[in-house]
Amino acid sequence: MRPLYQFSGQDSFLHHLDPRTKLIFVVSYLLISFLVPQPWVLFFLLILAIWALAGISPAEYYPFILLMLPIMAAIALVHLFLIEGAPYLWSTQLGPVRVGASGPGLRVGLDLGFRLGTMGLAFTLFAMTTEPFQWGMAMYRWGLPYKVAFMFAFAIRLYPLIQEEFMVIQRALRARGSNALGSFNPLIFFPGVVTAAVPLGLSAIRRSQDIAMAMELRGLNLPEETGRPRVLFREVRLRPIDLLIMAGCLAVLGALLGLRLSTHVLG
Amino acid sequence: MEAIRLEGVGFAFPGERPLLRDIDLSVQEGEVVALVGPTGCGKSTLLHICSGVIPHFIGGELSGSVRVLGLDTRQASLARMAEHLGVVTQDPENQLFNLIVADEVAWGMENRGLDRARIGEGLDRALEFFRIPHLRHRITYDLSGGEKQRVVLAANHAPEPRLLVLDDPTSQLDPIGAEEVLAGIRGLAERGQTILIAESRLEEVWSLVHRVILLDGGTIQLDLRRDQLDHHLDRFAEAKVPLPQTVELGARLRRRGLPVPPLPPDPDRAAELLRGVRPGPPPPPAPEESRPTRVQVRGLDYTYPPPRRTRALKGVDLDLPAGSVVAVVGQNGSGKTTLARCLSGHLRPGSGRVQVEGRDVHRMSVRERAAAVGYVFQNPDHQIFKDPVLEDVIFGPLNLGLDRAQALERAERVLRALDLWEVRHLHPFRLSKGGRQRLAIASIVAMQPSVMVIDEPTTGQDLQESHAIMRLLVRIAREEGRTVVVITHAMSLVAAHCDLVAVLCEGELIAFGEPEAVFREEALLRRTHVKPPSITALGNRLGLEPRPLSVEEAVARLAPSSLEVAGR
Repeated sequence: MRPLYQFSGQDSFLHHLDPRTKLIFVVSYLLISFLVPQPWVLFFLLILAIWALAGISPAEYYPFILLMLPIMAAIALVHLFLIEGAPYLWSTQLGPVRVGASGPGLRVGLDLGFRLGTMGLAFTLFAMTTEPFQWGMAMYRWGLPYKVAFMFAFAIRLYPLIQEEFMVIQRALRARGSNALGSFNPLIFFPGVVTAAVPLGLSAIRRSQDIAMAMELRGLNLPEETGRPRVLFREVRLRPIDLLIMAGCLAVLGALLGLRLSTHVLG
Repeated sequence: MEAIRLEGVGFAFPGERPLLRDIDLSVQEGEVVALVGPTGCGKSTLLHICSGVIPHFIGGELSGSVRVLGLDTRQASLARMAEHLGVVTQDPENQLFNLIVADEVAWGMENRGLDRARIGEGLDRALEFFRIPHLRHRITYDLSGGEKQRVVLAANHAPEPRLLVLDDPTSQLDPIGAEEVLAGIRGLAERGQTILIAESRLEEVWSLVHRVILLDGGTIQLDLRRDQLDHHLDRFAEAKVPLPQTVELGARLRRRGLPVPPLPPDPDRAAELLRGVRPGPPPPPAPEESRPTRVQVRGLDYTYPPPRRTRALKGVDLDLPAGSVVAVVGQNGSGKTTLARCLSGHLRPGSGRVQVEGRDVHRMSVRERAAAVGYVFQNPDHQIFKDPVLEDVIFGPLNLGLDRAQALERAERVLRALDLWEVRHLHPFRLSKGGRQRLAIASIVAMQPSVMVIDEPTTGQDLQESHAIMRLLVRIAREEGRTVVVITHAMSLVAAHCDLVAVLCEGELIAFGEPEAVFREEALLRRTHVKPPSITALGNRLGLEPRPLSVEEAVARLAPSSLEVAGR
């Protein structure tokens, strides 16, 4: 199991796409999920797409799905009981108030839950198939200053390390007889997070100082000092397939939007 | 031409005692110079001065004249200095900024504005030189420690710096990783690269250095050619800097009047030179102690879930006695940490069981397990949760349900035993790394578990501190009857302090017994890239009975009745 959102270094169709293409795909997909009547189809379609086009099976990111499920279920439950309307799946009269689980509520709740799940999955697809470097350099190509883009990419590269460090700290807490981070009681869990934040924060400060020094010694500021422009060895470039996918995404999105608007206006 | 020239250099943080005083140092281009000395002697500070980190990145009072590659480091910016330098520090994790190896190696050349063709050539050359072309497209955080450090070396070497500054580059690595990195450094030295290296294990860099500088108390104590070192045995011993074991043996045998030439660190060559020396009769065997079994491991099997899917343990059986220190050794990926995590209940095995005093650790609650098996993690900074030191030590006992008075009583006893009582009101992060390691051990000892599992307690520590920690663990085992399990790569420490050693190879237990017996099996140990201490390896070649586990034992075996001549 990889830590959440960690880049998975396969050699696949999705891995080879330009980050900008994937970003446009992800945004289009999210918008489409709001335009189609059955968003759950998109949710499962995305799982299949990640598997088939990126070679990443759900076994590699199931903790993320497990994390999403209670949130999706909570959204569905809230709407199940808050939205009124026949047919009722179950109902009871509590004095003047009728409490019930409505069919429309279930439908709206499930739709919203799956839309949220689709958003999370789409981000997983992007993060697991996009090198932080490419991500950063794509932003550089879009005009972001090099250092900002590089630091952004570096922060993403650092994230799995911090996550692993957090897991070690969680085990260290257990070794000291505290299972606060495994507790479902917020009064135990949150103080546990504060306790774990001490070693995590201090190690992050120490690490950031060492990293800043090492970057400086590898010439991060050399282009400014010498006036020689920095050269990028590996270019981030849009290929025809990228342009084709971008155009396809925008076309589908446009068509669905048009269909929805015309249905709304005509209907 | 001089690569480094320091004259009357000193450094201190404002209001604190000087870290360096009156340093005069000259390093010629093409020279490989090793800086050695105990922890806190000023090695890293001197390297920071030579790389311009002081005064540009770390502030303080720098005195004297510092010229590196003809540049006055006070005048030249750090970026300017960096153009001609390569700097590699201990932890490779903090020196890798890119995700893919090729990007990492190319990055320094990109910053120098080299054209693409030259970057491509430099990249190929550096990967080839450090024998890592197969890692070109790999993700940096998936590499082993040795591979990561070789990538860092390649990234620093690729722009062809005139001076390479290396700060203990092998201290965080397992023996194989260290060997790989040292092979790379050796290659650079052979090509005439100027290298200034701080290294805590002189044995490791012996063959590649031209000069050795002994730093102690912030000043240069000795500046010698490599072949002069064994004439200054006492000075090195005084500074607690170990010479290579066989080198020290040769010097000590000569002091006892034996006509022995200077011995090299390589046990094969040293054995050749000692062929004429006749060992004395073996000492009478020590009486065998019988200790009851505390931990019983049966059929332990563990496979990591996808995508790793590695079968890390394959049916391991072990009996660990009470009151003993047991080392678990083996190359990276041999299953040591998995075994330790299963022993401590942090990992549930696929099959098999771990019983502590008859109870299955995986059927215990978190609290029960913490009370039965203590686990000290490799990095002490990951297990410091409270401020000050005293509060951190009572954190565990309080979690076990003790009241504050009981917890404080235990903490006082433990802190006094571990020489931490005087610093009980300090923030833990104000302690040295050795101090923080002792605090991590103290925090677990205060919970009074019957078994303690300690992961790499001596990584990143000098030999003096490492021995101090190991002596402490032996004391805990003997005086309190605990079973102490130590995962380690330091074979000289295993030989000196451990009662038993378990050798793992690809998840299998391939040897288990007393170090003297296990270290005889060099061919078996080679399967998992474990080498016995060089003094024991020398004993194997000379057929000494029993095999010596320390220089003292070897001297006693080879020169039993002669007297040591002092003052050489």
